[in-house]
Amino acid sequence: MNEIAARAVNATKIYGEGDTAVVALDGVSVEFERSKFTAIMGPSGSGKSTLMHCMAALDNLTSGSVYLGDVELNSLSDKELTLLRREKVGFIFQAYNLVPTLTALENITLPQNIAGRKVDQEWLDHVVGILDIGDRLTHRPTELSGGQQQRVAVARALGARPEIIFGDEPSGNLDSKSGAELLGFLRTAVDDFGQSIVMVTHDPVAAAYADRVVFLGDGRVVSEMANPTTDSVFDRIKELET
Amino acid sequence: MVRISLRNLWDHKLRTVLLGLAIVAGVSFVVGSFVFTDSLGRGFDDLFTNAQEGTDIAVTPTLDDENVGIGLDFPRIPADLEDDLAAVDGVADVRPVLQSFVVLVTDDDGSQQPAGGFGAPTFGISWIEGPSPFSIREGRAPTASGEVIIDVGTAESRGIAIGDTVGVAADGPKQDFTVVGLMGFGEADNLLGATFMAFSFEQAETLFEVDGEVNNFDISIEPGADLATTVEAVQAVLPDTAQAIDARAAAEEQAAELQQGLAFFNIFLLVFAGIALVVGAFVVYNAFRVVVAQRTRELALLRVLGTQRSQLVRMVILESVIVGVAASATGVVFGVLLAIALEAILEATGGTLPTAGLVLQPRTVVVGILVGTLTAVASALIPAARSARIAPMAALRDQLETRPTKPWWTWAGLTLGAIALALVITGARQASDAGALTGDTGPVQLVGAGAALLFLSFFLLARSVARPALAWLGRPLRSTTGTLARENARRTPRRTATTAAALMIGLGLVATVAIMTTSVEDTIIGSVEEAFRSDLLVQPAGFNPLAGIPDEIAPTAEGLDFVDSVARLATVEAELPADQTNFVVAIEPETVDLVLAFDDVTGSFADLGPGKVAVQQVEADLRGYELGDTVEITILGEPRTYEIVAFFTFAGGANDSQSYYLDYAALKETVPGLRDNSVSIRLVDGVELEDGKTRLAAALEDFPSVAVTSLSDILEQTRAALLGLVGMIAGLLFMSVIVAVVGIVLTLYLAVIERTHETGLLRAIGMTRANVREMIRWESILIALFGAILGVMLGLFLGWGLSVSIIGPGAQYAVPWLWIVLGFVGAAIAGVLAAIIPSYRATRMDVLEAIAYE
Repeated sequence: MNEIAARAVNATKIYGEGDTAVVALDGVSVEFERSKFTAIMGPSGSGKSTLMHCMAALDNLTSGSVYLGDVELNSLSDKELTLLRREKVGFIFQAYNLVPTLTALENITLPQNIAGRKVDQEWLDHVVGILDIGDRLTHRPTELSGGQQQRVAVARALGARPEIIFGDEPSGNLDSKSGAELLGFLRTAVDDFGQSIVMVTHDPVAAAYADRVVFLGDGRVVSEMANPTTDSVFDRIKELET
Repeated sequence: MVRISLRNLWDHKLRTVLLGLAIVAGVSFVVGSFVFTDSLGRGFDDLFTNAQEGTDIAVTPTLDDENVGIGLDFPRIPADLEDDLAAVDGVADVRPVLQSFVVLVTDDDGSQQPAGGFGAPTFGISWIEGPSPFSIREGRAPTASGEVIIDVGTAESRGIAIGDTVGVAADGPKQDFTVVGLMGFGEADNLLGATFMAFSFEQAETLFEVDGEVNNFDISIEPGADLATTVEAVQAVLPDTAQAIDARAAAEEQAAELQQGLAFFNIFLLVFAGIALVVGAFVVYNAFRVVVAQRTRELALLRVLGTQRSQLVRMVILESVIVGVAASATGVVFGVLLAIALEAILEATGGTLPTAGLVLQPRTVVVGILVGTLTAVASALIPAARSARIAPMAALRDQLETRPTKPWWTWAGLTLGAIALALVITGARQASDAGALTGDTGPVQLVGAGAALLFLSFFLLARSVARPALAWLGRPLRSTTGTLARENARRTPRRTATTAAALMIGLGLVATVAIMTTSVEDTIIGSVEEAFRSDLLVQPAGFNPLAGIPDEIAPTAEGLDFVDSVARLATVEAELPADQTNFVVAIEPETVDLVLAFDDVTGSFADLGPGKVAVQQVEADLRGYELGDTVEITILGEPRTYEIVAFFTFAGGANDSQSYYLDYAALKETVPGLRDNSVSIRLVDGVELEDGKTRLAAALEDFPSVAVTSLSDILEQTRAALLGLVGMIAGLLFMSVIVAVVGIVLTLYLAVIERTHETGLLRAIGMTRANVREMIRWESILIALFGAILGVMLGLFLGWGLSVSIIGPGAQYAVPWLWIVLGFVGAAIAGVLAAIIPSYRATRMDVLEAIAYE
């Protein structure tokens, strides 16, 4: 079994052309291990979001390659990328995670429904139980608190048992208590289900939940840290800034 | 503020264009109507100015309006007046003119004018040497017998060239003529589609069977002679049966009459343009409402920065003014193009209207711009007022507020609906009780008012029923995309309802008209089938229903071995009791069953004879007649007394136009020269209908001026005419439907922009572009079908109310289900088409941008 859930090799992304060209990723090579929780950190404009988008089959590289499992993404069409996302990727965004016209349950099963696949009811019940949203399933997103909404998003991401889950500041819009809860759930998913998670954040507290932190700066990997704590991450950021 | 308005319109180019389109369509319709009718008007003016070219005074028979009868038309005056006229002081030239209806038979098709009189007339005239409206375009004037010239338009359409032989018949048998020339009317090739054939005067006399009479004299006066004095002097030498009129004034009067007719036509077209504008107003209102809601944050920010409420209102209105003016100006251009297209279509379909070039009056431009701009501004007023109510705090709020439908909308809708139902049902009741015989338009007005209220009520109720209705409509949609589409359509019920209501107007009117015509068709066909008791009917073949048929037809038919019996029928216009002027019908008592079908007869038709009359029961009830009473009927200006010998009720329902029936032989004596209106024929048992028709037509070959028709021919003609009517009205309403579809495009487009984040999310978690397209397509179809259902519901009910109130007693209510189904299919297709632009926009959206948040 491959121990790498996703990797980038010499990934380069340039926006625009000529004088106005902006290099977002400048030859990034990085691997995300299976069943690990990885955080990507870096200041605004460091390329962390771009890296995540390219890894998550949402965007194309200018050069280099990214792999999801064994699949090389560069050569895929929009449709193939979409199907790949549907099959192998879970997403948790900072906000607007849920479709307002659908109930919580419908939101959770949405990827399977779009794909026309059967929902694994047992797994679903398990996930819903852990996330403690069983009594919220028939509610519309507007009837849920922010924390509940994000937990529904986590349930959706976990529901399809994807190869990897990408989180873009998943706790960014939550108060600290709800945020901690949510990150705790992600941690549980990695520890108990062997789920691979990559999360972009600039919050050292959030990063401390990860197994490993990758620091980006100016489109390059500038540092790495295993078993981070809030303090060690904070210190490293300070170091990097000077 | 102006800069913000302009920038806002410019930044959302597609939205602005779609908004404009909703106005452009209506304005171009308005402008097109004006340009088209103005151009026609000038064409007619030119034509009439040309028609009296060189003629100062026309001497015509004194027309007594009340003495029109079959075969009595084209009254003539003595030809020997010519010498007296020439001797009058101031008269320079006198030109006698002969005229008659004729039938043209060409070799290629052998076809005659369409039977029953749906085509344009064919006139035969004597060629006038000297000034006349006609001019030789090619060849030469007819001089010898056996020569004819034809108008250029007809020659082109029927493929006739100089040197060809054509058959022409007036009353008598068909004769062959050689075409020696082609003529025009000033600039025009043809006179409104009518066919003109000119012969030498002597030839005309023999062909028209005229001796010593002319239809009129054209007179030119000497230079310097006073017109009014000369008219008087001419009048002085004329007998009572002739009159002298100022030709120019008469032409102007005719032109003025036609202009009035055109004005009505213009109003008729403008009604449909108005409907398109109302639909456009819906669309603009809806779009501005959505846009203001979408810009809540931006507008609130402006408020935070200290912008006055009134400034915000002005900003929104300013945008509507800019859109309105730009769209109206475009509409004017398109309107002119529309008029050109209309003319081209009419020309291509054989209609030959006088074309004097396009007339674009300043009034047309002003009205077009004004109407378009006012529509846009009026539609934006409520949304603008709403923008003023946005609190500065809204800038900080995240979610768009969706305000629930106010209950008063529902109550107002229900109340209006109840009033509308009451009006329509009352109107329909009254109509079927009282009957159309009284000529009372009250019921129709009641139903009309009810119809208008019902549309309003449906509009108000649409937003209340939108959510459950769409849930029901979308129930079959089980796929994820389908479910999402259904819920998307339901999440903004007001928006969806207004969009659907725009479509409802056009489709509702189309459905109403279609149901009305089908009902009229069924009613007519029912009564015709009921009343048509003979096998075959011989009628005038040409345009003029008053031309009658030659007296020889009946005896000829009677002599045929496959003919069982023959019934003649004649009509003459008369003054009836209670100041009615209408046709009285003369029938032969012994064959009346062949001509008319009765439910009930009191007294006996056999008693008809000189001085006797049979009266329709409803008329008798209305006037309180008893058998044996006498009534006074004035025929040929002479009051005559008739004794009532019978009352009758028609089998096919009441006939509102003819209630008095006289004896055929007696009327022929009263009115010398009266010709048969028609001859009904029953075939000998065992003779096939089609076979009998063919053989009868062959036996009457010498009389091209008559046509043999059977019941199925008549039904066919009725159907064709009504189908044409539905087609025309549906065509005129098409513009409104187009505008409504633009409305769907706009609503969906705005919704797609509004749901950017959501669509981005769906794409991220695995929705393909095809899925997104499918989702939007279903939403579009649902909205369109919702509108179609509302429209058809309106149509089903209003079609009933209007049919009953217009037709009166005996009305059939028939629904053209096939057309209704086709309407739904059409609406679904419109939905699919309307989804194209919004779904393109949605799938081109960058997923990353969509999921980004500021």
